[in-house]
Amino acid sequence: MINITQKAPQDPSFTVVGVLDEDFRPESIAQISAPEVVFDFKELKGINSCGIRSWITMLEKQMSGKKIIYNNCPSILVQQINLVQGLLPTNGLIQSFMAPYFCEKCDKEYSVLINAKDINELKAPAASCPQDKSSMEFDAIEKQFFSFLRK
Amino acid sequence: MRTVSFSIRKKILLLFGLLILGSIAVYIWSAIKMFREDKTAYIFENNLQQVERLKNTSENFLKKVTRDTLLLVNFQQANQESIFLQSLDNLDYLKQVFSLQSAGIVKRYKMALADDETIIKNIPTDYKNGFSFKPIKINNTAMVIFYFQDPKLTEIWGGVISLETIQKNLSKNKDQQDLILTKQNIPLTQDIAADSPLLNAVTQTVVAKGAAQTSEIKIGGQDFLIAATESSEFDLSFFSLTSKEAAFRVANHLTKKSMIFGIFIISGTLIAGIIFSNTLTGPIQNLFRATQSVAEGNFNVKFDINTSDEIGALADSFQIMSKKILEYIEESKEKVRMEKELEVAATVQQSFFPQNSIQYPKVELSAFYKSASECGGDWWGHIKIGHHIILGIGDATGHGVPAALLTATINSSFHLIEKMIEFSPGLIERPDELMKILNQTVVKMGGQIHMTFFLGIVDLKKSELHYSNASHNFPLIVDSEKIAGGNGEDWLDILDEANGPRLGHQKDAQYSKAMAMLSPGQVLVMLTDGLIEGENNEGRQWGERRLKKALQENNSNKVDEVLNGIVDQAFTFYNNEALKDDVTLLLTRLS
Repeated sequence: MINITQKAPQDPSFTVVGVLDEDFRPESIAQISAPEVVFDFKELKGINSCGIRSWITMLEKQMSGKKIIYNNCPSILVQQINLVQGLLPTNGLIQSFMAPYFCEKCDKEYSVLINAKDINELKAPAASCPQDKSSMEFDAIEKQFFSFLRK
Repeated sequence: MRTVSFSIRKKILLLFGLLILGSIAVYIWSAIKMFREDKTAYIFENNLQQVERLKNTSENFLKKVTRDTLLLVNFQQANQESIFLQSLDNLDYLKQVFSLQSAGIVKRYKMALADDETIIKNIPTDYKNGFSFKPIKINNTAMVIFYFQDPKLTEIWGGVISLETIQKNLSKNKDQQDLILTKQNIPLTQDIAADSPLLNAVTQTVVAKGAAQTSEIKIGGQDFLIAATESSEFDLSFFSLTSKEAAFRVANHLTKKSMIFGIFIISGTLIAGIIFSNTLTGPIQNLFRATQSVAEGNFNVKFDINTSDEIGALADSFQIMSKKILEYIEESKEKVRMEKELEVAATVQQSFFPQNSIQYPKVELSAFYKSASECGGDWWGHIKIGHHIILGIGDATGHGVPAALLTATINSSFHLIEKMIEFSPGLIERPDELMKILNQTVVKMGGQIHMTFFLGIVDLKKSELHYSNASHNFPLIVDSEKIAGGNGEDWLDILDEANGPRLGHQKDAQYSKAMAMLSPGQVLVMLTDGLIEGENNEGRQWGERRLKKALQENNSNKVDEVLNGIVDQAFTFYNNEALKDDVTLLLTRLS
């Protein structure tokens, strides 16, 4: 179940909450006249192929020609954006996203919010473990995870 | 299964028999016994009252006789002859009056019934209160003669009394016989032979002094109740005999009726018990027969139980249960049939995949495939055409039969590519066009199921890889020589170009192509997401980081060793946790 709410009337910012799946209806998103639309995925819990297909349809039909900005993208969404053409439109960009890190010392995985502008040469920025402050290892293949930046 | 040796029906009947019928029988027996005792007491009491009444009325009459006699004697002694005669005429019961002395009869009054000889012969030897009574026969007619003796008189007075007058006091009940005996056991009121059984039995009866009593005697084989008492005024005994059979006739009749009524109640109760037990156990027996039928494998059992109690509800539940079991059996049969079909499908699908380790001149392939269920949605294949090798790897959305059907379609289409290239040799350098052909194939399947796909064509002469991607996991190129001492991901390259929509997603999807160099010693790694998204029992995915490390740790000149090392590490991490998605890994290395 997905719940997409506009932060304020006429505000071209939406908050996406829940699981993006077959229950998502593209027409549930209000028509926006603004040239730039922002989606906040901080509360996105999951995603599947049907949800992706509907999302792409929504972008193609309702957001055509607009600049699309994604904020707080979880790792699963980033991975799908890398693979699935159209999930991030050609005139879209990811401003911030959650990157997977792993602390070998405490054997735990963490998600770290990263601003896209902080990525240089497709290298993951350094991050320290919130628990033991030790340096964490990037928990994915950098070239693959950050490939959306090359689009 | 045990046999029913002591059925519920028998138990209910036994319960009725022992408790209810026994209670009723005991109650009826007790009631009859109490009734008979009460009736017996009543009959005995009635007999006593009868003999007391006889005694009282007889004594009263005889006292009257004595008073009248004394009055007459007084009139006579006072020489009041006229009053004497007038009084005598008024005494109807007194048939004859006489006086006598030792010399003989002095006077006779009224009718001369008893002659002198009879009067003299019956003179008593003893008197009680001056009077003595005796029965006599005058002209074959039974009468009573009495004598009165007073020491102050020189003569004895007496008279003859009509027997009818005395008999008026006797019971009129035909079943009752009253008897008055003199001291010499001579019947005063009846003409009974001296040796008659009645008289013998009566005379043997102990007559209580004063108080009356009732006892049983047998006369001529017949039982009688006899009540006896003795007069305190005269030398007379009074008896009242009642036939026991007659006395108890009503009691016996009522007892008999009570017994019949009791038997009727017991029979009714027994019949009610049988009907009740049949009503109760009939449905149970029907249900029992139904369970036996089910035990023999006949689940389509039907029976008619229309009771509105718990047994009726149980019968309904049993029928529903039988129906459900039948449905489950049918479902199980269907499931077994489907499982067999799936086994066949899995066998057929296995034939899609070539052997895991393939070696051609200048190139070697190594592959691993494991399905998450009977039929998987992953597919891989290759075609060797001259100095080209076409490699394909795909992952249908979902898994199971629908995904397996798609892999069968892709398998057929992929191998048709060889024939297409025979007719259009230019296609060997157009992975994008080949991808479009595959897309058309998948689109024709209805568009309900998609497939990510990577198609690469390796030119062995030029060491070039021309590829096109349909949203499949990006293949990796691992440079074995750079791994050792390599910095970061310098040894790793990602083939993330030429990415298009999944097969089947768009009818007119356009795909692009890209080229990468695949030098000898480099390993092309193609995989499906099942490998990196496989989870252990803590829910943690194996992930790209561990894949990257596995590639580094299993650096070898032989792709089989590399592949086996990666698969071992992945499945060790999974720790026997069931796969949620199919796992496919395909390595290619130019030599």
